[in-house]
Amino acid sequence: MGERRSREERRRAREFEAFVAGAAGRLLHAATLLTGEPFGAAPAAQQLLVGALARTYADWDRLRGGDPYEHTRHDLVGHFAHSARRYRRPRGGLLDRLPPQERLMLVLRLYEGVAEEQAAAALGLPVERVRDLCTRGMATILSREASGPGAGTGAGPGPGPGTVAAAPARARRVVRGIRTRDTAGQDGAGRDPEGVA
Amino acid sequence: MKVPDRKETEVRVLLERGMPEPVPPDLARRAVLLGLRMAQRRRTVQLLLWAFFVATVGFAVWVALAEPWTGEPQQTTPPLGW
Repeated sequence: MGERRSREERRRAREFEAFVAGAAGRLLHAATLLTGEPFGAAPAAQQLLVGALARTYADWDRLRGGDPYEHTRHDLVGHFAHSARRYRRPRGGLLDRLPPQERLMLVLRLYEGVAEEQAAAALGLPVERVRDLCTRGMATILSREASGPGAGTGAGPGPGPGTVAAAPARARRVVRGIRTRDTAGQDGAGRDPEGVA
Repeated sequence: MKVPDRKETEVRVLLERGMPEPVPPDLARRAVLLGLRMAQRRRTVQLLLWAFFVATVGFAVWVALAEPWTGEPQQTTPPLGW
């Protein structure tokens, strides 16, 4: 009896580990976007994800036929929405200037590709609200990226010339801005003492 | 069906980019341990609820059969002559 149970336990752990090996990267990326932490240093996102995965593991036998990825994502989103207040403080990530609800919408709708209706149903919001949050989040993030990587520190994104600029140019600038952000930060740090001296 | 507009595509590209997240190697193990603890806690709660339910049903049956609110029948007659 105990033998059989431990064999079951091992089988479940094996299946679960295979699932985690496949899905953890993408889920962790989503969780990091949600918590607004920088990529590669996201303890809160990890904790959020471990909680969601643990609940998936606890439900593993019950979701036979169901999609564990969807279960985990649903759980992750639900917990994030529930404790959204904790993640309001900017932490230096890509979406950290957005309010948690807008972050959640962008991640669900655009990163995970969930339909508006499903996102609304999962969060218990009207579809119009989902659309509204998504539009607002997109506008903020695009104008912020368009007005240069350094502008993230300003509270007002400001409808600078970037918002009316041609789209392809803006996209290219966004890409370049992100790519040069790290080096720019280092440059600034290196230049500072010289400026003082 | 709505055609995905340009803005959406731009933001999607933005979200997809970034370094591939380094997944800590012990993530699955941590999740399994936490999951086992959760399952254990759920089982305990379930067991307690069942125990409470069984105790309640047992008490109700006993009450219905024994009717403890009806007092003991009197064994002696009251004394005469008052």
